[in-house]
Amino acid sequence: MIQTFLFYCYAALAVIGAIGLVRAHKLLHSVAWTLLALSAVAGLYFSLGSEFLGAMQLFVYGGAVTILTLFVVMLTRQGAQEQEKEDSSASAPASARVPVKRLAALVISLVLFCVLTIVFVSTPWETVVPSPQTSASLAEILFSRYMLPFEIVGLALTIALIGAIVLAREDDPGDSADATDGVAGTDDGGTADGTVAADTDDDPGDAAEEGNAL
Amino acid sequence: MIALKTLLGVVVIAIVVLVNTIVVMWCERKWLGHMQSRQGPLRTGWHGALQPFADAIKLLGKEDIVPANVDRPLFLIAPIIAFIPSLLTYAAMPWIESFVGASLDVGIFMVFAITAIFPVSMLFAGWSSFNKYSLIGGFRAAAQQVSYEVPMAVAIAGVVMLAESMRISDIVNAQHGLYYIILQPCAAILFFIAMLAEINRTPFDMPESESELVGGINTEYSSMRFALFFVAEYINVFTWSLIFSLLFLGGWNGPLFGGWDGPLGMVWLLLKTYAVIFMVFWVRATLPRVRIDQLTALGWRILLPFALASVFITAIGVFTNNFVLIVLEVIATAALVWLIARIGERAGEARRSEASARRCSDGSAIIPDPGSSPGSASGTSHTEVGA
Repeated sequence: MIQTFLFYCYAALAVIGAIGLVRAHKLLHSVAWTLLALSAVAGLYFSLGSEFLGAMQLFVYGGAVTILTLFVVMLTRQGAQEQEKEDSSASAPASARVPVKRLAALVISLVLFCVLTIVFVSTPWETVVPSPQTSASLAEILFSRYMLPFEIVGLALTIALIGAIVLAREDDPGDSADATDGVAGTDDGGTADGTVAADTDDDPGDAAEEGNAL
Repeated sequence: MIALKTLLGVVVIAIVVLVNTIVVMWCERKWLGHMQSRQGPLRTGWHGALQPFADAIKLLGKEDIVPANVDRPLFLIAPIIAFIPSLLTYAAMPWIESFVGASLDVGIFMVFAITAIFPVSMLFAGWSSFNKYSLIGGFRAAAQQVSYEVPMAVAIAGVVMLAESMRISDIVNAQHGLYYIILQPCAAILFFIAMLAEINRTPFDMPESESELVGGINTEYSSMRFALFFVAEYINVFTWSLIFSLLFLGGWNGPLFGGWDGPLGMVWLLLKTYAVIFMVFWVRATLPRVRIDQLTALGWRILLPFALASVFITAIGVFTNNFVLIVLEVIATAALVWLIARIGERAGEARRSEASARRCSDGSAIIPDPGSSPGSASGTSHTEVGA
């Protein structure tokens, strides 16, 4: 009884969060809604007896991913929004393209929804009794049967990390410049009038990143 | 029936936590006062014992100001997002074997995961305040908490390896007779340092450093919303001290009635917790604030390698015996303490030489630099070691 009730509570929260995420006008609000949706999914895992997965969901998605998203959104926010406004108001062809865009978005999401539904319905779901020692059994499987994939994933992530550091460093000689750059970037964003050209940071990577985000 | 029991348990645990939080607030004022040769609060109640209540009533009576231009919804919910996870951690926290929210199989990881949400509230508060100092405070909070989570998690890994379980009560019971602070001194020190950063205490209180950020994320908050941040901060102090005493100090084990599943076990646990809290306040009274680049450098270049080394040593210890483990851990601890002391000394020297160089260029270097004498340099290193 309580289980079912909790399930519907979490499910409703997750759906509300997802709708809020799409409907929100400010990017930061979207992130807040995302936090709600992801935490609700963690709640779902808990109510299904999968504690490890729930804690992982909270830790990785609730904590780390949300914070990373916040950082990215904050450091690129101003330019992106201003650009959007310019697109929609100043140039007439852009506003004429909006219905086409909406139609395309509708078609793509409908197709995706149908495909996912078919997959969900047609898959025979195995149900297992949750073991009381979830983390121990998980570790056993991970370090015996799936040892090689586990190691490969670890290696791939390490490579990605090193690659990200190499890309982010550019030719910056200063070690501590990254942290100060981040703060300076937001300050610029707060005062600049939206034109990316106004970004007079001595770091060329900063401008390039903003360009990518647009 | 189960629902009623759960509800009762939630209420009881929340009350226990909040009462302890009030005691922690009072302790900080009194202890800090006496460490600084003053009395602390005296007039409200016995030795100022009612001061936290008076503060709470004062804050409740204040006007809840929402400044113009703030991002209203985020500004309003940020303190709540800060408060909820700090109380939610107690869902998985045991006090004694039979008095526990939920004895989860992933207990310590669960607690850790919930506290990971806290920096999100800091970022929301900093951004929504429409104040550059708040924003910088929020950024600092997120950066430091995210980067110090890593050495902390790795430090906990050693404990989990020894106890062969993530359930907190299993970890405590595994320490019967031999506490993990003896087996894992290096991990304990790393955990303590990372804990200070995690709860934004001096020397890592950059997010709200009054002298440079005018209170950081707290700047624009008033009344109950400020109180929520304030209370969340003190709950976190208590939470992490409790975790430290559960993981490293043997929890409810003790010489007298040790491991007894009754009120006395809880007395032991609380005594240990308050000892850790005393350490936290002691550090606050002793050390000045570090710079943000020093903080990140310390986290990534020293704490993380040493935490990984500690895990490696623990693995060796698990396959050999406790004696090898203790010897290796003590060597690692000595190296860690020496390295931190050395860095402090170097930073002091660099600062002094820079200051004297500036004075020389000003042309006002008539007064000899007191810091350049060898006597005072060694004095600095002593304070750093004492840290």
